[in-house]
Amino acid sequence: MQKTFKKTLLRSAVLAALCGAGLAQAATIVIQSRDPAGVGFNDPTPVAPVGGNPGTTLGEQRMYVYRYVADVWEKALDSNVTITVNAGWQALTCTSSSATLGSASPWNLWHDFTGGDPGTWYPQALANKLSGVNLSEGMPDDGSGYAGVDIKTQFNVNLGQPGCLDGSPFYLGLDGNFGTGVNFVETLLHELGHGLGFTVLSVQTSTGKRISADGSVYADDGLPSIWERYMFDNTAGKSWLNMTSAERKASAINPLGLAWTGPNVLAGAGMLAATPVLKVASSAPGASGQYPYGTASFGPAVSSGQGLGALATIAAPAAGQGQGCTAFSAADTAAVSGKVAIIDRGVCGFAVKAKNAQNAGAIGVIIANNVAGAAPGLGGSDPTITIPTVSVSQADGVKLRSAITASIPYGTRSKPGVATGSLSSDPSRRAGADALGRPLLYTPNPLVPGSSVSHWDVSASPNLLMEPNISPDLGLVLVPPKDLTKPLLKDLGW
Amino acid sequence: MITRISLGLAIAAALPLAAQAHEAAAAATPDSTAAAPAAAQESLVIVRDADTGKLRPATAEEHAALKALPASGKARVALRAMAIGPQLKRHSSGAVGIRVTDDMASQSVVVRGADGKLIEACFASKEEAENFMKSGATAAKTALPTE
Repeated sequence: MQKTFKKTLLRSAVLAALCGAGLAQAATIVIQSRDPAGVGFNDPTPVAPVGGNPGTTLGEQRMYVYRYVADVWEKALDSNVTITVNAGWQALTCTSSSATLGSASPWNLWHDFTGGDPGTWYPQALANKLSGVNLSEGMPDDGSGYAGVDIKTQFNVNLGQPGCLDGSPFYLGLDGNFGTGVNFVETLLHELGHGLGFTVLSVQTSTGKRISADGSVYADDGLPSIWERYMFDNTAGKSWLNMTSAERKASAINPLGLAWTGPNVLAGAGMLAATPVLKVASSAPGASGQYPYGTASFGPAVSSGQGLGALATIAAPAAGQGQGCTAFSAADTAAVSGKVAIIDRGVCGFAVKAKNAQNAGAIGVIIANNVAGAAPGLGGSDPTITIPTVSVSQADGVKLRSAITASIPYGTRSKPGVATGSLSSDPSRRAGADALGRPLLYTPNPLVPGSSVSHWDVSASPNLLMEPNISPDLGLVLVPPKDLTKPLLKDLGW
Repeated sequence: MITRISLGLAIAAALPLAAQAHEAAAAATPDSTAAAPAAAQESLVIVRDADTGKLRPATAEEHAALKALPASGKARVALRAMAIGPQLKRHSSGAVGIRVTDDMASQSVVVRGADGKLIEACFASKEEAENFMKSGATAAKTALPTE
């Protein structure tokens, strides 16, 4: 059973009038339900209106959100060709504590159409916009029943039921008050973003190969996707367009190494927050500096402008032991009393180390990473911790210790010189961008699960709609200073 | 019957993208595929009906014919029929298109952490998403390492 939900004739007339007046036209999105009677959009279960959603059945509320989100995208995009979103509610993978929420993708890809870059794969909705025609129109059905749609979506019809993320259904309100439920507005907004083209599309990132021109195979000589045009790997010094399959494969798992270089995104990248830094001051030449830091989920919150105090180190741990994992020795206690203890990550919890330092009289803790990579976020909990804790990278931890040593001669015999830490921000570096201010794509190393390449990196601040995780503080604005989704789509040709 | 099987094979031959996706999964989890019962594999075979032109599950007769194939050929057919693969399209302008598969869709998943908080994450493929759920992994900002 197929139903088509369309805007009113009046709306079409208004759009036509706007076009006639030479004004920018928005897009038209049609939601095409494939749900049978009594299921999904047709579920007759009575419900109370919630959070601005006036539907009085579960099915009506589901469709209201779909329409609401489609309207957001309609206003953000320009196209003379109707965008068709096929939608269905299905039983998807579930357990009591986890669930597949849903999925979406451009359902057809095209290359070598009028208006597009030659030899380049595009998602159908964008290809239609650029060519000015519906490329799938008139094509015989291929057996799927919805072969010509631009975006195919499906969401979990059982979410919140016993055995399927028990008690946490989709929240169908529009006000963001999702409580213990799952915010369907943001989830759908995100997934439709992928369907419209926010995706590497035709590259198999596990091999770096691309879909061949005839669509038959992933191959070394396949065609690039339009997405690749603006992917630049700072380690390789190459765009994805100029890489071999092996190089693309490596780039997809190069943490914080892959930047987006599209002009619209770059024009808006100033919206990303200045990078928070640990500022170290010392009288010793060359010992002062600024270092990105991570924050902790325990202890008092920290903020830019906050002073920390003089830095101190403790003795290296015995073999097999973790630094700061046990009560501090008398010597270490003397070293950190009234100071900020630098402690290496490893063996025991961050909160354990912070508590031991606090018990020894430290007024703060800096955890130095014990592996390469950025300063880690520090999880854990201990409500008795009252001193601030931050983290730095492994390399920066070495620099901090060097600064402490270098500072000692710059004092007096009774009061050795110190390196002092405070928290600040560096406006020359943006959170989630490379040194040139280009926003980074998410490229986790193989040990970190995640969807690489087709999202912004999780270091972006403020949170962005198209990061791999759906943050609870997202809104509906797709442009700077709130978000970078629309600029990226514009780079692709939207 | 032979005609139908031939059509089924023709479809399978046109689906190497789906096959590659599955084979990649097999490489990542060799135990699960190596031990997969033959019946389970065969139940996933899809053929195009000679009369209607529509895709449908293979009949018992078609399964039997499939079994008669050499092992390598049988495995190839079964693997390639794991999902309906890309369908080639040609527009009168010369544009070339394909229809993709559900396996290539991005997937949003959610996991309830030990602290009761929901962690929502999006993955580029079904395989990645299911691995995330199985591992109860920590890709999201809200799930930080604790040591």
